[in-house]
Amino acid sequence: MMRCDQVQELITARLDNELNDDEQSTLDAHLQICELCRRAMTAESRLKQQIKATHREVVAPAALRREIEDAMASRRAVASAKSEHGFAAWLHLRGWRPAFAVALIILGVATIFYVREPRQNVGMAALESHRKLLSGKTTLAHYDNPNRLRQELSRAVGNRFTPVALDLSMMNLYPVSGFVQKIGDREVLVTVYQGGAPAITCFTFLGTEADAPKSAERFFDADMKLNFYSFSQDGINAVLHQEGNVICILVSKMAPADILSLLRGKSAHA
Amino acid sequence: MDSIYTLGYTGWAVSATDSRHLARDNFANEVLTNLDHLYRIALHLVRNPDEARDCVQETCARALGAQGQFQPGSNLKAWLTRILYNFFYDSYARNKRTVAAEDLLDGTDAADLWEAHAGDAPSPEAQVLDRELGVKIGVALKQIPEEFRAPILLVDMGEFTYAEAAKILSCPIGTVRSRLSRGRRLLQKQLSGYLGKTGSDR
Repeated sequence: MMRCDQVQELITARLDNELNDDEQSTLDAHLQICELCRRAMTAESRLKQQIKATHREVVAPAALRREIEDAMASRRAVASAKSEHGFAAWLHLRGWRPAFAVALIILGVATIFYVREPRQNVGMAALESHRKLLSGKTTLAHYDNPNRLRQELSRAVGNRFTPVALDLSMMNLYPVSGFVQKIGDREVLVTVYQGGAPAITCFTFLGTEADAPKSAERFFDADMKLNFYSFSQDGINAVLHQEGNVICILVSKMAPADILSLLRGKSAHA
Repeated sequence: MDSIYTLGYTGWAVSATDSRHLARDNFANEVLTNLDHLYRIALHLVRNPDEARDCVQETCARALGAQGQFQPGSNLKAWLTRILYNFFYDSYARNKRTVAAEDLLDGTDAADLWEAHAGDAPSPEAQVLDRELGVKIGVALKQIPEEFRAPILLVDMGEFTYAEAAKILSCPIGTVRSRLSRGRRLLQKQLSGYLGKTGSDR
């Protein structure tokens, strides 16, 4: 026979219609002989009803609803304008053709200068990408199956490399999304870990330790025989290390030391 | 310039812009029908109504941006709630979730707490008192740690199943069940001073 404290969870699940048959029988047997737990169930049921009733009394402020409706209307207007006055239609405006030719020339010259620019640093771009993710400026599609996410990401770069996978479940962080980011001429696989702790974004790409920003601080881990490079910007921290021909950068608002300890304790690799 | 391709549920490379041709208006209207629900949940997550408004606005913006990734026919309310929670965890939660539940329970016998609120069906007078209790519940919910509050918000308020709540919170179903049980007990503890005044325990 179960003790009273052991049936608490069963009472909760019973009130939510989430018990299986065996659990139901176990609970029924206990309730038949325990007045205290019957009363506990009545009380919990009433609390549940009260919580639900409290919730229903709250409605979104009218001003908020209007703001969101307005924002949606703006989106629709922008989308419609784009479809009705697209680039092709714009080109048909006779007067704009010379301007378009000039613009093309300027674009061509600018491209030449751009190509001569030094390679964009992936590490600093990773910090910026993480910041955008946190601010919601990057739209994310959530992915429920981590293996499939990894497969899709690998496939997206022709299986030339696979994203470094981390088991962060101890921190209640799970890979929920991923995408390919083009940084300079490099394809970078980005995996987003979210959950109960500050989000972590993992960037994987073909590179060397020379991809660490010049400002990065280097740590040598004698046990792992690995160099770790730590760098930060605006409260966002990153740690870079190399595994074979792949560079992995972890970015988060977590302290650099915490990110480092995650890397040292990581238990799963792609 | 960086270019970003997002992964859709069904496969590779569904960008936000590609999805614009989908039934935008219907989708937006469906999002609006969930506004009260989102606001209620947000109000219990953050510190004040202003932050709740920010959360809901951001949730709606993200939902519209990611419309292409929503599978028509699946649970939009759960999908929106998951977006809300993801935003909350990234922007607000931080270190608040580390408060130990033991500090709140401090050895009180849970059965006593339940008994204080148990009894026969409440009288009309008791129902008036129960409305006051509703307000107290709102306050008490703020006092309990986020990890125990979340299942209460989702299951009791949002009327999600354990499986749906688990998906929203990215945790196992068993965790939802145990935390919900614990959460309701914590809530009782927070309300213990008030429960004696209600009609429930006469």
